Amino acid sequence: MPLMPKRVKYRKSQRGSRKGNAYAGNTIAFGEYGLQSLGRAWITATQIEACRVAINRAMKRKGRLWLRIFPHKPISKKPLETRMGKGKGATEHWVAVVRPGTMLFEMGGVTETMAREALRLAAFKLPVPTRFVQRHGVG
Amino acid sequence: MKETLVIEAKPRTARGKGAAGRLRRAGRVPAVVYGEGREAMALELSAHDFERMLHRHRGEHMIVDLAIAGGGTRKALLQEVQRDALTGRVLHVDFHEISMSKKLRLEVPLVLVGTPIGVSQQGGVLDHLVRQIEIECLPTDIPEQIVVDVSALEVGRHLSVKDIQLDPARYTVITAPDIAIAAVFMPKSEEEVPAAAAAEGAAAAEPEVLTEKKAEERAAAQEGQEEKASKEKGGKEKEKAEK
Repeated sequence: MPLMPKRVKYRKSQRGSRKGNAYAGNTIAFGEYGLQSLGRAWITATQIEACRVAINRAMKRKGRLWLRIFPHKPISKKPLETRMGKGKGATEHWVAVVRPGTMLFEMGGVTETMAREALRLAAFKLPVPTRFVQRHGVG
Repeated sequence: MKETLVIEAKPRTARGKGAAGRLRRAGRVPAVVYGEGREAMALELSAHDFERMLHRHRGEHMIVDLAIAGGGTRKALLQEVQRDALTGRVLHVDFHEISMSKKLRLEVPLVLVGTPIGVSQQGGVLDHLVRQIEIECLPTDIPEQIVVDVSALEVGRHLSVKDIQLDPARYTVITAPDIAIAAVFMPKSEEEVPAAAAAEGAAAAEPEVLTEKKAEERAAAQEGQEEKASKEKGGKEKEKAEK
C-alpha cells in the first residue's frame, strides 16, 4: 500500500506552485548522511516507496533510514475516453512537492561508503537530480 | 579552548535584503555583533577571508577578536553561520560579544566513539539521539567536543546525559540529565515492515475527508430541523382544525 495521509481536509487539491527553493526541510536533521534534491518535481508515493526498498536492501539491516518527504498532495485523473466536463476526476495517486534543496532521505548508523551506495541506488528511482550530503559543524 | 583569531570587519549602514544582496555580490558577507549589554551593531566582512578561516578551523565555537574599523577590538564567540542550502555559500554571520571572566551557555557537539557490543556482537543498530548538549562554562574552558564512549552499550540499553563525564568544577550541564543520548536497538526485519504497512493500508485505502464528515453532519442536522418544523406545523394545523 503506497504512502498517503490518514486524514485530509479536502478530497482533491489544485495544482499549486512549485517555484522557489526549499526554505524548510533543507538540512540534515536526524541522521549523518542525506540525499538532497537539486531539482523540482512531484515525487509520487510509489517512487518514495521504491527508494525506501532500495535503501533498506543496500543497508542490509544496519543503520537507520528517515524519509523526509511525504506525499500529502492528491493528484486526480479523469477516466479514459471521457468527455470534458462533469467535474474533476477521482484521486489517482499522491505526491510530495519537492523543490531544490529539499532533503529527501537521511541515513545514520552506517559507514559513509554504504550510505553513498544506498543513496546512489535510491537516486536512480527519482525524477530529480540529487546530491549526497553529510552533516558538518557550524562552519 | 580554541585559538583566538582576528577577523576584520567594517560597520554596515545599509540594511535590508536588497542591500545585503548587493553586499554579497560584491564579495562581502553581512554580519552582526551583539551581547554584553551593548546595542547590536551591523557589520560586513570579506567573504573570501571568512570562508578561508572557517575552512582552516573547523571548530564549532570559535572565539575571535573582532577588529571593527573605527570601533576597536571586541572578543566575540562565533555564534551562528547561515549558509545557502544549495550552494553552501555563507549568507550571514552572528558574533556574540563575550567577557572572558563570565560563564557562557552554549551547545557543544557530542561525539560517540567505539563500537557498541550490541552492534558488533548482537546485531543491533546504534542510534545517536542527541547530537549537542547545552553546558555552562568560562570562555577559556569551551570544549571543542564532548567524547562519549559507547563500546559497552548492549541491545536495549541507552546512555543518558547524566552518564557524560565532565569536570563539575568547570562545567555545568544544562540539558536535562534523563535525556537519552545514544541507544542500541534491534532493527525491524524486512518482513515485519511491509506486514505492518499492509495492515495499516488495509484499514485506510482512502483517507478520511474531514469536510465531508462535517457536511454530512450539517445535512443530518438540517433534516432534523426540517422534521421538527413540519411536526410543529402539523400540530398548529390540527389545533386550527379543532377550533
